[in-house]
Amino acid sequence: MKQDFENNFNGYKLPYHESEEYVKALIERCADNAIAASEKRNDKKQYGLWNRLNYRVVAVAASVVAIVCVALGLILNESSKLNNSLYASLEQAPSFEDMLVSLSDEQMEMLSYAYVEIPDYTNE
Amino acid sequence: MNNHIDDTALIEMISNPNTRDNGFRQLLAQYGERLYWHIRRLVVKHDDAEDVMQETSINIYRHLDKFKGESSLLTWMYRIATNESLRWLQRQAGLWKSSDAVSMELAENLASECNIDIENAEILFQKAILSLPEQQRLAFNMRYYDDLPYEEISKITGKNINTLKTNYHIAAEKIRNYLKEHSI
Repeated sequence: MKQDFENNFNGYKLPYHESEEYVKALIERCADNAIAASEKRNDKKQYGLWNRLNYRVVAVAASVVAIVCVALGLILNESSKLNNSLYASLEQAPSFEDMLVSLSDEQMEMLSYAYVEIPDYTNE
Repeated sequence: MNNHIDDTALIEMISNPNTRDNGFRQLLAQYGERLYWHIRRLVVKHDDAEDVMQETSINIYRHLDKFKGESSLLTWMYRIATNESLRWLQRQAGLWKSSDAVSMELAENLASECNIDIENAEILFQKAILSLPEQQRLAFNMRYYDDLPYEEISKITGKNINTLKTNYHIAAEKIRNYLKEHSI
């Protein structure tokens, strides 16, 4: 098969310039670095597992707290809006004296009957 | 560490935690050069080839336990090297370019990566290969430079053997046309 390729393409070589020694040295370096990188990873796993677990627990707890705070904030905001609107409606409400003045004579008469009908228990 | 050790002995060394590191070093000493040139042909620039070779070595070491013996060790390592190289090219391409476009750009700057004594024909041949689409380039490189049988290339790339044969023949035809157009 290689001969066919060579006949077709005249046995072209790669044009790149690295020597065999350079490539061998590179490969040895890669092997050393791969082993060292794996040892670092194992150390992190051995000592860092608990830390990583902790980080996860803290992250989850912080997220839950954040969600609860946002929800509380929204609820408080809505309730203060409700309070504000109640106060506003109370301030705008007419006073008792104004309401009395606006009653008709018949309504005043009925009101006076209501006051008369209420029994007085204070002198029993 | 220059004596060739067969795959069975290498696998035994790697499976034993006491000899795993030595087994890995022997594995790379035996097959590393082939992996390096395979990567270099794909990524072209020698600095990039070093980085990809390092990533490949780390991945090989990390996943030694996952080697199941369904293919040879070399095929398995070739697959890792191919995936790392293609990932590298895709990262260079980013969102807006294809990895084929990156290879075309690398072809334009090929002369700066080459030995000054090299003939123009060799450079032109490389440019012709780099102008091929990714799958054709892979099939051609592994057949022409590495003499790998189609069955092995199929395990490395995950492609059907007939597809690979077609890719190779189309690639060879395109390279001939490229060389003719550029008067070789």
